[in-house]
Amino acid sequence: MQNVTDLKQIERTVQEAREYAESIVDTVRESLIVLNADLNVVSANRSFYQTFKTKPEETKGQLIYDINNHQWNIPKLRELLEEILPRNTSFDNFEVEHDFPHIGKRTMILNARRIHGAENKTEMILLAIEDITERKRAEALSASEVRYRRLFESAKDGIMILDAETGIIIDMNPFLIEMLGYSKEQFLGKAIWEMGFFKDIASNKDKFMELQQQEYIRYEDLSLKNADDGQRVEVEFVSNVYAVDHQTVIQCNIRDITERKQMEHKLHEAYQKIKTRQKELEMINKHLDSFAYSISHDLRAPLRAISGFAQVLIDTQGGKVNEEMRHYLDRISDGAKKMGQLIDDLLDFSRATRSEIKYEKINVENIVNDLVKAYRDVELDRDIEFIVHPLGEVEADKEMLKVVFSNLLQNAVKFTTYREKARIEIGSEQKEDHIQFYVKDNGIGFDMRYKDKLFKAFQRLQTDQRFTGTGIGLTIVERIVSKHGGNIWAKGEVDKGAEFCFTLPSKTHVDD
Amino acid sequence: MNNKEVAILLVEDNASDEELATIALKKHNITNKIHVARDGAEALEYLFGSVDSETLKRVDPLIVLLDLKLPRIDGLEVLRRIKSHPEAKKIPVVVLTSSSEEEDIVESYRLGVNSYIRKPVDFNQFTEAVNQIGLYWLLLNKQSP
Repeated sequence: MQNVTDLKQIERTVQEAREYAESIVDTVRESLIVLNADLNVVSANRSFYQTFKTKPEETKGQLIYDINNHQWNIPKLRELLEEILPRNTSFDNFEVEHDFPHIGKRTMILNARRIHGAENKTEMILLAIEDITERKRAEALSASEVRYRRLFESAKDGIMILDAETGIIIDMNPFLIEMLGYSKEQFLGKAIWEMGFFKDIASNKDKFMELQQQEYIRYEDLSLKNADDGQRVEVEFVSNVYAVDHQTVIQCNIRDITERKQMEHKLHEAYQKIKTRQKELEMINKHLDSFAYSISHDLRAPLRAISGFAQVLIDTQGGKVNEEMRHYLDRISDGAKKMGQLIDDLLDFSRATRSEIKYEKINVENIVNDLVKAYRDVELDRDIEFIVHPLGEVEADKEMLKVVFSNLLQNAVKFTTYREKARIEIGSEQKEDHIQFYVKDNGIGFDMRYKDKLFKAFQRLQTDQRFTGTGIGLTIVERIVSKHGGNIWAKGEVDKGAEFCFTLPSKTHVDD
Repeated sequence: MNNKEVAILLVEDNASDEELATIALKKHNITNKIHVARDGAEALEYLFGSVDSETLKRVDPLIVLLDLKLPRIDGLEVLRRIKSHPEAKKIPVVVLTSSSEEEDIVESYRLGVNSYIRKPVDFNQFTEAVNQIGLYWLLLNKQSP
């Protein structure tokens, strides 16, 4: 009896201990699951069923990998249960991340022990599953908060956080404190429109309301006053509204653009100066134009009078004008004519220098052939051999290029005047980025020592009175060529001939 | 109407040029009476009675020799007024000027000038040009009804 009573007593004690243990197991917040040696589910606690949205009847007696649509068939878990546990009797704190069909991605800490079952002493496995997904998230959040705070503290923009409801300043960064010369205490707890530096603009309550509604406000240039030194700070002000936890805040970013503004101001001033200067130059050019026009008109009139009345004297007083008088009257007349020519040349020169280049595609051979034909028609009594090689196409101002070839050919024709057989050759050579033209003659040539004087205005290398000219032709040629971005030079030898070479860039100005 | 009375309206502000033009015309036996206007305003007053008038007063000039650069109203304006008037536009206008500016030449022809002569410095060339153009238009105008 005693034994029976004792046995019952023991059984009751065991039963109580078991119930006690089970009630503990059931109230633990971690999910616990008990498996037998074959990894079939023996039991699980309430937390398990709640967390993984399942019921005892769906799990009991089944292989853990099979329950709930095989959602525990996780390679990592299999490795733990089948390889590590048989060797080590336990494993601790294995972190497993798994995407569950119903509850989504979860991070879990797994702990397991081999235990002995209460009744048949068979071996069992207690698996504790702790869902740390939320904790992880919180940790990550606090890391990003630290990062954000660091940015906030070290930013080279002034940042201020306001309560969106009340407009009261909650936070500001050190850069703002430095920029505006207010202490942290002067900022905190005040509504933004109470701050002196915003007195007209953002302090305006209406603007604040507008910000509340539109959730975004931007001022490109705002002038704020530093409380310490009274200096104005030019700023760019951007603010927007967002929610943090359950509070809506306004973040204002205030960038010091004083330096940029000063640069912009300087740039603007420089630009204005250039514009003024440009206008002045345009005016000067216009004046030059009308001046040239006046020269053309007014200077020629008295010359006409000089030449004209000298001629009238000869015509009307024929009988009384003796040989000597006639000679001087002719000199007067010639002088006037020469001066008329100089004025015309000067005008041609100024026109060539002033004119804008109008680029077009030009067949150079056509231009040269037309000029050659004109000379052939005029110089009928002379034996001139013109040789025109292929000259190709070039982009240039047609009228100007005509002037260039016309002047060069005119020179060649002029300085071969006393050759029994004159030879004038025009050709070209295509170089890498330009075309080189040449006009070669077998005329009287020139002394290379004076080659620098060739292209200077009104400089003549010829002292021979048989060759007339004012010495402006080559100067005009040089101006036109260099206006086109080309070069010009000459080679020559006294009594052998001269060769003039010039280049024109072959870059494209004209669209096809 | 006697064509010999007033046949040529010479619009010229420069006295020397006026005299030379007169000599040049006479040299070639153009003996029509020459009326000289010293500027554009005088020319318009002569033709229309006043600067603003729209009615042609004088139909007698057979030809107008017109300088471009003139005091008060310039030659191009005189040309425009003559050539935009339904009757006056029949009078031949020859521009006789120092200017060889492209714009002046183009504008003169656009306005309907009959001839454009650039006054050469050389007197013989000048008389030749005046003679040829002047004679041509004088004869032509006599023949037209």
